[in-house]
Amino acid sequence: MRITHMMATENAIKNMADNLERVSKLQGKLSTGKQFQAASEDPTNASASLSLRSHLQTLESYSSTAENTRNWMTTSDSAFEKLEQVANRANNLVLRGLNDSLSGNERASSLAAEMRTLVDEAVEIGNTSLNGQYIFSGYQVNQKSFALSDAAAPLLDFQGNPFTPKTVAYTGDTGNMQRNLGPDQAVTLNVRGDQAILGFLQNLILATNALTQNNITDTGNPATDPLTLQSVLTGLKSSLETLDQYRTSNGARMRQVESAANFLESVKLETKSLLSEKEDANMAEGIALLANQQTTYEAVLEVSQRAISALSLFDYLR
Amino acid sequence: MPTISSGITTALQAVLAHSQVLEITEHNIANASTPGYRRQSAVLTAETPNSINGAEYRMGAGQHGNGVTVDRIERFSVSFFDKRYRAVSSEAGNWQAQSSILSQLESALAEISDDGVIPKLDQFWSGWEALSNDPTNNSLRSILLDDANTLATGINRRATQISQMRTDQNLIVVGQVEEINSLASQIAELNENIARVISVGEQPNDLLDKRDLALDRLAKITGAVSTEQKNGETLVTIGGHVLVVGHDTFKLETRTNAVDTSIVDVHWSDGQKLDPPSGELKGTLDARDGTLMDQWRGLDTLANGLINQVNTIHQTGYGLNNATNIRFFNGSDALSISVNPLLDAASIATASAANQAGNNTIALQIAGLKSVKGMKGGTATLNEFYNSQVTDLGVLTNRATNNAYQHGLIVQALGNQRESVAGVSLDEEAANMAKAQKAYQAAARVMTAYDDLLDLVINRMGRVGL
Repeated sequence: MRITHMMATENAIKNMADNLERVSKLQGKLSTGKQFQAASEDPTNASASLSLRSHLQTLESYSSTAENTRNWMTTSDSAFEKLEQVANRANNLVLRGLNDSLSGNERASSLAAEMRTLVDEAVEIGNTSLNGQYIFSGYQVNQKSFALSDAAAPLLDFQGNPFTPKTVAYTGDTGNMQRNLGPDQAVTLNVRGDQAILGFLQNLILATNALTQNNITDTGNPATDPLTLQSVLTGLKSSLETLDQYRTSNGARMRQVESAANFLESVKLETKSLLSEKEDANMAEGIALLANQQTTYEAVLEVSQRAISALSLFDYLR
Repeated sequence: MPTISSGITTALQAVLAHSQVLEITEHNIANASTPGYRRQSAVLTAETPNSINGAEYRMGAGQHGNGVTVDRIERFSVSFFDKRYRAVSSEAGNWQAQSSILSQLESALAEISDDGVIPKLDQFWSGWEALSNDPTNNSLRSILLDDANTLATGINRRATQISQMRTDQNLIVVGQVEEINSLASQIAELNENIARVISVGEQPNDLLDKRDLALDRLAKITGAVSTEQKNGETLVTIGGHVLVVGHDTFKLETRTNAVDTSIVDVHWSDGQKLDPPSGELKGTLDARDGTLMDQWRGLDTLANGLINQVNTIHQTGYGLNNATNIRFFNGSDALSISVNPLLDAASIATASAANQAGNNTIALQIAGLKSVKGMKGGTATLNEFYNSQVTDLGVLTNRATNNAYQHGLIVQALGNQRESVAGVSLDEEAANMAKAQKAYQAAARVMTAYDDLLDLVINRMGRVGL
C-alpha cells in the first residue's frame, strides 16, 4: 500500500486519541470504584444493579420495621411481667384476707388500702407508652388505654358506712396493628388491653371491694357471691392465666420477629455482595489494566512522534 | 532537415516541459495536507516527429524526433472509492449524531447515580413504610412529604430536560439545513465552471477536488448521492429528490411542526417533507422523534401510574386530623406531577377509618405498591417499569456508540484506501522533483552544446588563417 504522510499523521492522531480514551475510561473506573458510569456502558449489569439497590432499600425498611416491632413487643413483655408481679402480690393479700384471725378493720383499712395502691399501679402499667404511644389501646395510640374512675353507686362497708368503689374502663379500641416484615409476612404488633388486661384490673377492684366489705366466703347467693374474697381469688387466678396466655403469644411473635430480622440481615448481606459483584470495579484487575494501557499509550506516543516528524527524502536530497 | 535552431527549440521545449513538471510537483507538495486534494501528475509525451528525406541530404533515413511536451495534467481520481466512502460516512454520521444526543441524554438523566428516579422512588416507598411503622409520628410525615416532593420534582426535571433537548436539536437541524443549501449552491457553481473548462478540452482538476469535498460533506450530513454526467456536471439527490441538477438547486427549508410547535421539520421548497436516507440529519431527527420521545412518554406513563395508584388508595384513607378523600399527587403526566399543595403532614392518610391514630392500613397498602405489578398490563411494578426504560436507553446508546465507532473505523479504512491512491507522498514528490531537475539540467546542457555550435558557426567558421 502506498502510504502518504497525511495518512501517517492521521492514523497517529487517531491511535493516540483511541488510546487516551481507553486510559481515561480505566481511570474513571478506578477513581469511582464502579464498573460503569452510565447504563450504556453495561446495560445488563446496570439494570441488575438498579433493581438490587431497590431490593436493598426495601430490606432496610423491613429491617427497621423489625427493629421497631421488637422494641414495642419488648415493652409489652415487660409490662406483662410487672402485671404478673402485681397479680402475685394481690393474690397474697387476698389469701391473707381469707385468714379468719384478721379483724374486719384490719381487712378494710390495711389490706384494702394496699389493694387500692395495687389497682393504681396496675392501671399505670396498663397505660404503658412507648415514644408517646399507648401500647395497649388498639388503634387509639394517642389515648390512655384504661381510665379509673369512681363508680356511680356507692357500696356499704363492713360497718354499714357507704364508700365509693372504683370502676375501670377500657378507652382504646379493637384495632390490631399489623407490621410487615416481608412482602407477604405481616405480624400483629399490639396486644389489646381489653382482651388481656381489663379483666385483671376489674378483679383487682372487686378484691378491694370485697376486702372493704369483709365478704369472705361464698354464701350460695349468685347476686352477692362474686363479691366474696373466695370467688375473687378464683377470678384473680384466671386473670393471671389470661395475662400469661397473652404474654406467651406476645413472646412467640417476638421470636418470629427475631428470626425474620436475622433472616433480613443475612439476605441484606447477600444482596450487598451481589450488588458489589455487579457494579464494583475489580480494583486489582483495573490497576493492572491501567498500567498496561499506559505502557501501550507511551508506545503509541513514541511511534506517533516518529510518524509525525518522520524524515522524508527531502532531508537527504542535495 | 535538422538545423541548429530546431535543436535549440527541442532543448527549449524539454526545459519548459520539465519546469512544468517541477511546478506540478510544487503544487502537489504545497497541497500535501489540503483536505480533499487529489495529487496531479504531468503526462509527458514525445512531440510528433518530422518525416525527413534523409537520402537527399545524405544524413540517413527515418523520422526525426521533436522532443518532449506535456500532454495533459492527470488527476488521480478515485470515483469508485468515493462512492463507497460516502455511503459509509453517511451511515457513520447517522450513528454519530444519535450517539452524541443519546449520551447527552443519558448523562443529563443520571439514572445510575443516587440522583436517579429509581432511588427517589425507593426513598418514597421507604417513607411510607416508615410511616406505617409509626403513623402518629409527625416528623416521619414531614419526611415523607419531602421525599414525595423530591420524587415529583425529579420527574418534572427529567421531562423538562428531554423537552429542552428536543428543542435544542432545532439549532442543529437549522444549521445543517443551511449547510446543505450552501453546499448545494457551491456544487451548482462548480458544475457550471467545470462544464465550461471541460468544454474547451482542459482538465478542471482543482475544481473537481473542491466539488468532491463538498459532495463528501453532503453525504455525511444527509446521505446525498451524486451521479456524474457526460459534460462533467454532477446530479445530486437526497432520498430520490433532486438537490442539484446542472447549475440549478432545489433548496431545503425548516418549518415549525404543526402539532408540536417547539420543534422544526425539514421540507423541500416545493413543500415535500425531507426524508433523509441516512447521515447526521437523519440521526438527529431519529433521536429527537424516536428515542427522546419514547423516554418522555415513558416518564409520562410512570408519573401517571404513580399518581393514579397512590391517589386511588390515599383518597380512601384518613389522616391524623381525619381529613379524607384528599389527592396525594396532583397532575397527570411527567411535567405536571406535583404533591398536592393542600396536603399537610397531618392530612397524609394512613388509617382506613376516622379517629384511629394507630391504624396504618392505608400506609401499608401504599408502601405495598412498591411490589404491585400495575404497569405494562400488570406485568411490571413501577420500579421495574422505569428500570426497563433506563436499560432501554442504555442499550440504544450503547448500540449507537458502538455503531458510530465501527462505522468510523470503516470510514477511516476507506479514507486510507482513497488517500493511498490519490494522496500526496512527499517522498514520491521529492523523487519526481529530483528527476525533473536532472532532466532540466540535461536539457540546459544540450542547449549549451548548441550554443557552442552556433559560436563555432558564427564566430569561427571561414576565418582560416586569420
